[in-house]
Amino acid sequence: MRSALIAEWTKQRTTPGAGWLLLITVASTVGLGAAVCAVATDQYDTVRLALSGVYLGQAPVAVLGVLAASGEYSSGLIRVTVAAMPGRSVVLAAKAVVIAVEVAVVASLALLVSVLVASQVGLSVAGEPVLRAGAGSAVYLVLVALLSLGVAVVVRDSAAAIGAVLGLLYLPPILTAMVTDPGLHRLLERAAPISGGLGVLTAWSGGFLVFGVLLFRSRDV
Amino acid sequence: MSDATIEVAGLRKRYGSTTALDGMTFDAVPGRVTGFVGPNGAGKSTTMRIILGLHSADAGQARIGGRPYRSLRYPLRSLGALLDASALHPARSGRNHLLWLAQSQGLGRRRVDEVIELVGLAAAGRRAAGGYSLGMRQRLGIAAALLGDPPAIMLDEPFNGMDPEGIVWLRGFLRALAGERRAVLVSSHLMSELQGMADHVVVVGRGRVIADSSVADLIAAASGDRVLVRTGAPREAAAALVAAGAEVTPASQNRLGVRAMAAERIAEVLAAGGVPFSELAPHRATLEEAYFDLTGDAVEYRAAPTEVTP
Repeated sequence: MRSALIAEWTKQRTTPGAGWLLLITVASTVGLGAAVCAVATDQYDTVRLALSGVYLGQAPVAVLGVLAASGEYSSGLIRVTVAAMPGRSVVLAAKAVVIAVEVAVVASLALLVSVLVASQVGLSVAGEPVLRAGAGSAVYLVLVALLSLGVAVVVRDSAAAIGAVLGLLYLPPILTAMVTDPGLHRLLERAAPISGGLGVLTAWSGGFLVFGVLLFRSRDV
Repeated sequence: MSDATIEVAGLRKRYGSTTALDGMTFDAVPGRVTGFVGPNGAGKSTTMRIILGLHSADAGQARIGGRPYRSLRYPLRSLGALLDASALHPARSGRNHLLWLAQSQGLGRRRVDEVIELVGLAAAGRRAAGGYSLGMRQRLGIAAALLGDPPAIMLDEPFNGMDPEGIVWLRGFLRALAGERRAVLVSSHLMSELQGMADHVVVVGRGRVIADSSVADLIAAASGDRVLVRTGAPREAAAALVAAGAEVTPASQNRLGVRAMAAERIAEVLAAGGVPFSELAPHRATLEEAYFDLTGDAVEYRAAPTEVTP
């Protein structure tokens, strides 16, 4: 597992794509957060406003998670990877750990800057609530990255996987707004990755990762 | 480095309704270059993918030094393989491509430097691999196959896209690897690429082995006992030889192919009949001719014979 982790980490850091996506994650998270804070006042949920950049920042995180797997399918590199590391679960686990750590570090940084920006424009964001919400948002982004990895392993195609993940993240809020039936409305809200809470998102990510591992182990590559 | 034979035993594989492998069986043993030859679609790549554990076989097994590939902890130390030289991330440098592969086998940067030097890519190592020519990618793939200093090497169509200089280099290189008691398995759809390099050939068609023999035996079998006769009087020569019991076919304007008669006897017959001749040459088949003899029935896709109307 150790050699697989080192190898996957080298893969991530030796292409420019991942670095750019992480940079875009920081820029979009901080940027949207700052824009929202600039027009907000203290009468709203200020912690939530300060961290609202996550709504935009999750998109590059999703792309990062998808490309970590599906990029190898499009080039055929996946065969080189599996020939070098025949333990397929180990390969997937190593990929998951590498992107989880990457996203955790970068998301924490982006959210910290977001909070600093919010306090600069005069919103009252301090203390334990903001710490808890910030940590939750970082975990949210890590789970989005893992969900994306799982989906990419299942569908093996970058465009399809990115479409599926972004659809899963952004469509439910739109659908929820359109649905009038209160029962269905509540179901959508509770089952959607973005609004169902970290537990629901963990189920989505875990489910896709497990499904991905099972397929990856049994399929010809 | 201990010896390792690549063993393929009774492999079967179907993709939907297509039978890719139909009982593929052969060994590539240490100390020799084994050519793995057959027309496109004969099952060469499928066999190699199964050897590497990328595809699963419906039946049969493949082993490296007695062990299934997927059970090897650091497989590149047992079998180095190149299947597709273009399987690269275009933005990653050749050196970094080798680096992650080395790390996955518990090896370090020093080994990367060694193999990149060995294949003559040191100067281009820091450039993005997406900008490499196909020949350079083949060299990078060969460097990757050598990373683990494995006792067995397997290359799928390594001559594709190589310039003449690269081909000469690779032939010598593979001979040298076999000289170090490594098992070397090289696939090709062109028998001529293997002439003068392979010791042994496994000829395949439609997913199974058609011939598994040393190159010398294969050529001897295909050469038969044909003797080429060069003569200024082909008609008279043919008449005399047929009368003496030989089978004669015209080979070109003033040459005849003669079967079922030894060269010495041909000379006697022609001399007795007063037929002038300038050359008697026992015909030696090329590896390619031997191959066409064997695979005549096994080619899946072939152009229809062209009718030439005068």
